Amino acid sequence: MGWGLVLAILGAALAVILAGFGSSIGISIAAQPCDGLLSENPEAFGNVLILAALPGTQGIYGFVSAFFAIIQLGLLTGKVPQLTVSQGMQFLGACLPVGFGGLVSGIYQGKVSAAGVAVAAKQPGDSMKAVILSALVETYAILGLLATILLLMGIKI
Amino acid sequence: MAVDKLKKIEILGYRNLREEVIASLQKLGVVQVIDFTESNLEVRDLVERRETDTRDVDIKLQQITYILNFLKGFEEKKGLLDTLTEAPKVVDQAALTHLVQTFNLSEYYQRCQEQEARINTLHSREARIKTDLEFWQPWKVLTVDVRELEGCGRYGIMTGTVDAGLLAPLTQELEGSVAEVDITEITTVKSKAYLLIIFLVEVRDRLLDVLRRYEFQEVKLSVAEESKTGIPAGIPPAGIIDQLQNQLKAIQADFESWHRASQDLLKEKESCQILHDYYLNLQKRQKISDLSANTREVFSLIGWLRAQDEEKVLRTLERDFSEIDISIHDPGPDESPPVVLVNSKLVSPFEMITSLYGLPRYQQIDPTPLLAPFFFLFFGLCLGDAGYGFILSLTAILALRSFHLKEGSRKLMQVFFLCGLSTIMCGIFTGGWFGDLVSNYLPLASLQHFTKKLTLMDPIKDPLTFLIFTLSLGFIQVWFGMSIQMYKHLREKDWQNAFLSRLPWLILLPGIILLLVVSGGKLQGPVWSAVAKWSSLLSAATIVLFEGRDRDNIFSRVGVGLLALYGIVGYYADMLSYCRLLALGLASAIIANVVNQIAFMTVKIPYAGIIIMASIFVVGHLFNLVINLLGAFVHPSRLQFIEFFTKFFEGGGKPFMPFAIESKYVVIK
Repeated sequence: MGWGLVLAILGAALAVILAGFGSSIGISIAAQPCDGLLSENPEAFGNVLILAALPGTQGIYGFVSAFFAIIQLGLLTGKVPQLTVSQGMQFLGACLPVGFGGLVSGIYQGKVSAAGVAVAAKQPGDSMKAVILSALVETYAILGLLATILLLMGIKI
Repeated sequence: MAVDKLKKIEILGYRNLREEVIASLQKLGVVQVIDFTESNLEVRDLVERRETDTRDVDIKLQQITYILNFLKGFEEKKGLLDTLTEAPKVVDQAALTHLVQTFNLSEYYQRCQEQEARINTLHSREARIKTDLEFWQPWKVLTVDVRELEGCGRYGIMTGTVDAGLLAPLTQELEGSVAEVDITEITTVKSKAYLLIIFLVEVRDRLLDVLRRYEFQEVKLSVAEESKTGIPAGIPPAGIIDQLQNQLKAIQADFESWHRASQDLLKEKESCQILHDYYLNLQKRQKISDLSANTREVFSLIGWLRAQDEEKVLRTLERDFSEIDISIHDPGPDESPPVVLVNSKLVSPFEMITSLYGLPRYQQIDPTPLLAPFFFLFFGLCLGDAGYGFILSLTAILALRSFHLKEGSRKLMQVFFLCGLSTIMCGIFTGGWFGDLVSNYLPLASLQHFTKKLTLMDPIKDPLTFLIFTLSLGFIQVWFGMSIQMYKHLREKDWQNAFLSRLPWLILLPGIILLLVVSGGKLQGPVWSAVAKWSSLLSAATIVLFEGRDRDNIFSRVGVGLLALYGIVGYYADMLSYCRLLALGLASAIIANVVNQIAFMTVKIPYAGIIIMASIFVVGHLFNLVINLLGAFVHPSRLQFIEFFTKFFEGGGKPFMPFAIESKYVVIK
């Protein structure tokens, strides 16, 4: 097995790892104030669950990208592809937008969501507005996902 | 299909009729009463405001709320499904009046309070006994009367604990330095050794010195007087433990009897709920009467009502009160009435999207019918799977049919139902049937052929076409938003803004795209290239020359124009934002495929394979549906708010909230 494949797999792994980091940090930031609110007002669960779950999408985007890379590499067919180092680097590079986009946007989306918990606490009827604000941050993870997928499509094996 | 027409109502009448008129308005439930100071009533300076004394009602409401909260602890818990399907109880006016007159609220309140106090006492006694039990448990094996542990004559006795690990060195040291000591280890619990130490009085100081170094903690074993604790003197620890356990049993029996007594209190819960709603509405009426203008003899109330209710209100009030004066008229141009949106059945669920952002002001356009088709389509593209759409619509229709939902949840379910249909449609065109279930896993060639024929664009196989499709949707919506702005200018007869500020953009944006298409060679012919070139150039020139038309200085005028032209970047960035539709659609499609792949991998497992496969299939697709449902709602909403609304819409309207009977527990007829 050549270094090309190693690099390609590293890329797919990084997409999941970095975006997953972003999501887990983001969710933990967002979920902590939710627990505080729930201790006083358990009925608010539905509202704050959405806020806390929002930064979770980055991890999913990372996974989707990795899966796309796996399909492109044909790993599931059982035939091990022969890649040059240059091709491996291409895969690695293509996976970075979703990885870093997910890492950073996940953390910051978590912060916006955490602030939104105050809205859910004081104005439960308006908590959807806080959700929309939090989703603004997610845009850049989505763009990362899109860039990664388009780049992966473009790589010729 | 827009912001509904409202009218202003002014009622003038004798003071003694005030409460009855207010009650009648509440029953009608279609008038929003406003503070008289907000109107241009000429008598404003003459009138005084009298705060109604609401304390009595406030206290009663507090008491009822307390009672209902207290009773909650004794109720059997109801399942979520029961709460959703349960229809609220209906009470008629006669029964209500009877209840208000006969029900002794303060007595009942007192009973609940006493009950709670007793239960609290029991709780604290229970806690104390449990601590005592814990204290005595390690000493259980001591068979002596605890009073004898004080020592006598030359002997002293001490009890206490030391860390279990230090026991051996402690004993050793004591044997060496203080010989006249006997240490007995009673027991060891949680790495703490419980010790009984007997010593000669003379060595006490030396002994204490050694013990201190080993962090020995003395525990005094003694019982307070019998009158306080109920434990007779002169019994060993085992006896004390028995006594305490008996006490605990007695308390638990007490708990049960009190619990039964509280069940008795529960019988009146329904009456309390009815009274709660009664007093809540009384409180509302009192607040409304504070909004009225009053002189010694006369009161006046002002409010808004929908034009369609004018007849009904007039008829009812004139029938019931012969001695009041009612005038209803259109709002003046400088007034800002509250806002109600009226839309056709198909569009009205989408009002929830509009009100999420904020209502339009009274004189403005209602954006709901304008955004509804876009939101409908975008939602479908994000979820993009016929199977998911089917589940969503089915769930929504079931919830609408069988649950008693509040207005907001009902609208959300209606949106889900409609958007589920859109998802089915988009799923058919993008070839998503629970991901690639049909095309890759089901051995039905004819069905595969059928679904393949319907597939127009597969985002996984051909994302580029799909990307261009979503960006075109973006172009259409942004352009549409700008044309609405132009329409608004035209409606206001603001010709300059319409033709010099808006129209050039409406030509420039498609012009540049045409230019790109022509230069890319997709569209050929001198006519097209001329159209593209000249429309772009002329419209750009118009923007540069006329955007700063209020400036006198020619340079500053062109500067403003150029800056405005730079705004083109913002417009195209808005269109690019629509590529999220592709990304979200891809994400849901790919995860659906992954779920299928994992599920069908397990089929080969002998015997259990089918069951494992089915459960992975169901759970996986449900997970994917829920996660992407959130995205499919939030991101299309964002596209409306940020990319679409910014082109033409200003919010700032206040919702119309008619003064009506409100109920939390029961429906008062």
